Amino acid sequence: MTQSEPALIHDVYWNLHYRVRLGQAWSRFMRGLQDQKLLGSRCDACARTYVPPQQYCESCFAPITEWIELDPVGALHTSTIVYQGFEGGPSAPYAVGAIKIDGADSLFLHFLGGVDLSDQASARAQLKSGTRVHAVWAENREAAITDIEHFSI
Amino acid sequence: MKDHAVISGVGFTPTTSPRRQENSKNELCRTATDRAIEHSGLRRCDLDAVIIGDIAGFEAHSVAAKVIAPDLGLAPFTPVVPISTGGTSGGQIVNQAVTLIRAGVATHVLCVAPNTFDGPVDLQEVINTNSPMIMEQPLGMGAVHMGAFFPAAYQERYGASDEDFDAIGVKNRANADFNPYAHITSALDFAHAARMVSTPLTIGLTCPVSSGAIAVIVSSEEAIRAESKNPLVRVTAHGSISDGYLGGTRRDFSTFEVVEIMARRVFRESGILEPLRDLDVAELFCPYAPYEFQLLEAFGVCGRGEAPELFRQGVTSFGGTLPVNLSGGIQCTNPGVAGQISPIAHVAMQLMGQSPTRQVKDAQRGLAHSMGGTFFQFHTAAVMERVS
Repeated sequence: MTQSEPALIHDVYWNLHYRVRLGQAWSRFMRGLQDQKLLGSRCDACARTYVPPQQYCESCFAPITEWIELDPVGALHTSTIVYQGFEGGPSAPYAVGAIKIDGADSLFLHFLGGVDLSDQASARAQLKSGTRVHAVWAENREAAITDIEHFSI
Repeated sequence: MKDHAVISGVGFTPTTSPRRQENSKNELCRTATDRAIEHSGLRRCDLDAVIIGDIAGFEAHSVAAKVIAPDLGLAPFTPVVPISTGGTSGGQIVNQAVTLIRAGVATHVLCVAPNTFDGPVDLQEVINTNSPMIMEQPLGMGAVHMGAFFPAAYQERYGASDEDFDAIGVKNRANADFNPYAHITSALDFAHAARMVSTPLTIGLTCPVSSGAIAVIVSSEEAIRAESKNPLVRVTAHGSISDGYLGGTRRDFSTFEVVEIMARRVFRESGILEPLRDLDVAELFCPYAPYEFQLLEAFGVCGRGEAPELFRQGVTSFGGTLPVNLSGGIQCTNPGVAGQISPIAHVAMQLMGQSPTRQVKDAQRGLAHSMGGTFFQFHTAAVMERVS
């Protein structure tokens, strides 16, 4: 293709807003967080426990009707320390991890706290797999995932 | 199955950064299409369907296929099939073309993989709409941060070092030096590459944002055998698989469990008994370099935790038993849907003996993989074999 002058670029801007319905299971879960309770659901057929809760089992496809409350404590499965965040996200550095909540079969993802992240090597050493963590509740809770401020080591 | 499907033509455009791109998406797709048609030796009127991929949200309008198709110069009323399966669109369009050919409902199918990332001003803004919003995305997790969970878990589980990961990044950039369609090469500044993004992923281990298009033509083997100007590369198996959507439904980030299942399916169909022995070349979709270890293990090339040693022995480098990502892979060139079809395009060219990258001598069989989803829930695979 021949070109003499640079190709033009025009700005296109769509301003879109959405409303996402959380449904029955996730609404109950979020209201639980507001009351400082971590709720999960346990499969009627195979007893696998999901946090956040599900109304059917992803492993055996059976419907789930049983709800349980779990202690908001567990062990770290894996984590990453973010040194470059993104526009609209928290300011870096911050840490996020996948947590095996005691009694749950799925992993629960959340912010990690209680670690000085300025020294990368030391922070990575402190966030080893198997490290025990517990939930720290947010002061102002509004039935959202951020009602847990973070999981602290 | 009525007939085998073969890759009959491949067309690449040059790749650059979106910032430096002087052509529109339609112009790039037209160029890639023209080159694929020329490569195949077919006439435009031979094409009886076109499949075009996109990733929802990255266009400023919906259904990119309908906008692109009219500019491809095809015969009037050619059926247009849009496919939008996120990071696997590029793999799926060829898979679907193969399915149409095998079913006998098409003879020559054009697959168009456009550049995807030229439009959005802030890519993460779009990616946020594809992430598990409500439950996980609000937790400071952009694409690369979710991506970091996998190598972080792999490191903890198997003791791979940061240096093991860096070495993969260096290997792939050196491969890209020989690929005229690569974006990032070993010219990448060392200090820049070392900058930490999200542990253990540095800039040098993370894919760039690129711009370029690729087109592939899939044909009925029976229809093209007599007049094919290229060696016949048959798609002997193709597959796709999905995992749970939330990141937390993954039981273990140190491996891609669903890829292990998909690998068994496609290898059974294509008669691959020992991947390391039976495959001559592989292109694995690795937006983050360490995934190459994890995918090699998931595809059964070696046992879990053994890939770093395999790499150190040179098995996956050029000249080794199974060279992987001779194109430099997605880690060097990531134009979206074009990046997803790129493994198929490059493996097909290797098997034709016409690779634009370093050619593996007498390559007979190859594996191509693509994946998507912010937590890499979705995967495709295609096994190809030269049959002439």
